Amino acid sequence: MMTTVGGTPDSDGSTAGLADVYATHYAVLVGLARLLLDERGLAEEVVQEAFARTYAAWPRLRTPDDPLPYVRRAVVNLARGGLRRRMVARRAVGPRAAAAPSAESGALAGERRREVAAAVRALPRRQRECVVLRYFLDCSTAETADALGVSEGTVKQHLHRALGTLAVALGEDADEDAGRDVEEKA
Amino acid sequence: MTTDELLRDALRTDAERDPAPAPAAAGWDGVRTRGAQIRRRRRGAQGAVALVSILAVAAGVLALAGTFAGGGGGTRRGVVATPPGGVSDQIVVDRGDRIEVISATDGHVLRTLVSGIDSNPGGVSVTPDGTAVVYTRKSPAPRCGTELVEQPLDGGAERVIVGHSWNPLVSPDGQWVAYVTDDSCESGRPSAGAFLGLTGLRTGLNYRPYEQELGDHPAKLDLLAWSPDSTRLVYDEQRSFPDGSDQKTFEFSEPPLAKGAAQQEITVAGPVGGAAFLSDDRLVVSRGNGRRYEVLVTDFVSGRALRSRYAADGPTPSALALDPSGRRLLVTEPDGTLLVQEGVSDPRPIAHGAHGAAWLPAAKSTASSLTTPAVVGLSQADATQILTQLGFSVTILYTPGPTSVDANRVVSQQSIAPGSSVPPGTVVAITVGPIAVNASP
Repeated sequence: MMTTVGGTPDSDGSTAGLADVYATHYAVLVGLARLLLDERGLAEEVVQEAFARTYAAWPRLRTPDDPLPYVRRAVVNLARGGLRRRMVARRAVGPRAAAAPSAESGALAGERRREVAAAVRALPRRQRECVVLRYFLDCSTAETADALGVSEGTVKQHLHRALGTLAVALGEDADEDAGRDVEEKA
Repeated sequence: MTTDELLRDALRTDAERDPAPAPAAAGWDGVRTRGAQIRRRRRGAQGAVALVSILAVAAGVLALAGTFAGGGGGTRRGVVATPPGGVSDQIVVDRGDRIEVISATDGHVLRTLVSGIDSNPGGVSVTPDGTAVVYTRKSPAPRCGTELVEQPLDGGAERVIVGHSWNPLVSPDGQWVAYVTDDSCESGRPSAGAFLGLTGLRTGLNYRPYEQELGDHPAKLDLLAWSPDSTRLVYDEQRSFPDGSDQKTFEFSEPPLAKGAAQQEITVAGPVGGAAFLSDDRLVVSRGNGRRYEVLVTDFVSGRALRSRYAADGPTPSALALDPSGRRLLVTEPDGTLLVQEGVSDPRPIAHGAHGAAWLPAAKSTASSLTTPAVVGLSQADATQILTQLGFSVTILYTPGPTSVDANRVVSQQSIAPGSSVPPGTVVAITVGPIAVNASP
């Protein structure tokens, strides 16, 4: 006697909403994964897998009308695994040499952006996640906490530490404006 | 430009170095295909549980049939057997200096398997067929900590599986034992971290799926649970970050048996202690703040809490174990109290002084007089006996060799006439259709 358990997501409920999210948020989620992983190919794999897992989990999704937070959280969780592998690979090959700046990218603004991006990449993982979710995705404190599975207080704490670390790394005194959004968007 | 603005600008520029293409239709098709594949895998695990449920119903029917066959009165006849790897009412407990089998009902000691050992840091696991226990004991070589030993439950000779290891966890398919180890034995120096190790229980093949230290300190790595299909392993790692914070996270590998395979990390909010897999990618986890803890069911994909099983005062338990039905939960609290929770009932303490514990699956099918409906899973001999005793047709599912109750592995499904013998092989399930309920012997 064989028993069939469950069915395809489409038989349990339309996944059109997820397809819409895929169409509209794919690129920005790849951007999120890339900032967490610093590798484009892996970022795309992570986002694709996150959508696949959300699709598989569709019948038991508590908020099928708004799957984006679930997908976002899956991306963050999957990116952590990818990050671990990359860290191991980096440990094996040593730190990468900085790419020589091109004439165009030698512009001061571009240089400054690169410094900031590099400083963010050097942050501890959790702080980096908070910064990327907040400043790249413009997530609120609550959304960031939901994506990371931590409390809002923890998010604020990590952001505060991250901004302090960034200020030191960038050779600045802590900017009075830095973190203003932390309060404003909370 | 403020730092906030600079951060936004820098991150967006960095993310758009080579912009991600708009997703193609084929990409969504890929999502659907992969998603369906994941669901099929989950369905396989759920199917096993569903089959167990069916078998429980079948056992009840057999009980009824047994009563019929006995002609009523106070004596119930019939044959009920617990399947190899199925539910039993016994628990194996690591007491620190001995390994005991106790009753899951009231905790009384049924027998002592091993005594006179030092199991610290400990850990005990049972093979899925219930024939042997794998435990930790102090190694003869002082520097090399503990070793893993396999002790057959029938009193056979022990054997050392692997040296300098602890926290054993036998995979549900019985092929592997996973454990924690480090380099201090080989190098003679304290190790900076810990490694996840795997040894084939039958092949003796040793390897580390990840050539990396997982914990930031020795022994800061705990193996928590295998997935029911033996392809994933959840472990708990404590990592120290440059900012001084410590974080404990769950990670799992998929599959852990392939070097370099995808490894993913799932974080469950809060200080998490133990975990146990349900059949459908949900995890039962314990988490707390040192003074009070909660046992929760969580979604494994997102790490999101779904519902609470119970909450209690005290430090967070680091060891949880579910019985094969997924209904009974075994909790080892840090003070050594052993709790059993059935369904959503309040957990009840059954023993103290436990360093670790595991459910003991039934080692073999044993015919006995029927007292309560039970899951049925039968050996060839038992099935033949049923067919001889009962005067009606039954459906038998069987496999060509020893296996677990797993709907995906049933290779044949047949109705077999009364009195006939069962084909060679281990029968894993016997079901009785509606006709049996009304059948007269």
